[in-house]
Amino acid sequence: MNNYKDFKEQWGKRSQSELPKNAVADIITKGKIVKRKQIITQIVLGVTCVVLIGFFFYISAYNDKTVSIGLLLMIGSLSLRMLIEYFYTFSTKKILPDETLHTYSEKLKRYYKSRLFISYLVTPVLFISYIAGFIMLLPSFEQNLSSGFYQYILYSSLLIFIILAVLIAIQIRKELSLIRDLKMEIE
Amino acid sequence: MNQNNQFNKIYEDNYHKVFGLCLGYVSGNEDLAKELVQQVFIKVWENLKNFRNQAKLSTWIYRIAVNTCLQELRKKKKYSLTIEIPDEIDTEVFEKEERFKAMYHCINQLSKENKSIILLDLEEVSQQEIAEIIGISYEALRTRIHRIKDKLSKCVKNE
Repeated sequence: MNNYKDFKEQWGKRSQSELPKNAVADIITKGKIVKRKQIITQIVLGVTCVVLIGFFFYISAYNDKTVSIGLLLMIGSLSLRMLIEYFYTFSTKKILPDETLHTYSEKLKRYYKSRLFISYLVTPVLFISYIAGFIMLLPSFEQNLSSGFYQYILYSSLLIFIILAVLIAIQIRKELSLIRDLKMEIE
Repeated sequence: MNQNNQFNKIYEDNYHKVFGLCLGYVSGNEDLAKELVQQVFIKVWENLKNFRNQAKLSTWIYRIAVNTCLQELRKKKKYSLTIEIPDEIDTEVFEKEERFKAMYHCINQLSKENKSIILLDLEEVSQQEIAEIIGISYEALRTRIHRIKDKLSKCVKNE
């Protein structure tokens, strides 16, 4: 196998896979699941937002300045995050997989760069605002809830915040690595 | 013909072409290639309504295949590049597997874009079509293919 012609000839001798059975039905089902997942993410964020707004009025938070600010910080950061996610879902739909490799890679690079701005700056700011809002609510929780339940809320939230921080860090690392790869691919 | 029937036909007509291409991207790892093929056809199904006959259907599918394979492989960094060789095999099969291993090794030395170009060429896609898939001029592609072929020939000779 000394030249490209031999190379190509050998290449044609590779084994071929048989056409999988029921594959089309599987593909259509998976395609529908992908769409459903995107909708579910929006619904979860939306419901959390609605619950917080409901809670705001239920406890008449507007009568207490600290509680109001705390809850508004939490509602505001969640709503903003939801809007950003919605915007990005919309903008990824514009990156069509049937573009030429050059156009597709360029669009992906732009997309991940803007994602980095969100991941490095916007998400941490929103995350900190959310935690700040939660901390502002703690005295009110301590006053109105049983000691056991208060402890539960305090420690479970702490755990959730730590997990979220780790997830954000992982996401940033992944996006950085994807941008590096994309830069190297286009000559 | 409704959309599902149309998709079924597209799948049957193009499965082997897409599989051959994806197999090249994952150095002969058949399981991974099947996963990639599935991702490619999910995208084909999702975007079928956007196909406007501006390009040949095969060009359109190859574009989706190239973009999807590269994107999926960016996410899956760790995958086996070695071909699994059974314990007891005859010399002929062993030599064949070794040859493929060397070929995949040489293809993996190329940049992702050059790898896409040569994999399409190896799948007998016309140069005009490859230029339309990658997004470069026909002339630029011809020069590029010439260089890649030289590089591959040298690499295989040294293996």
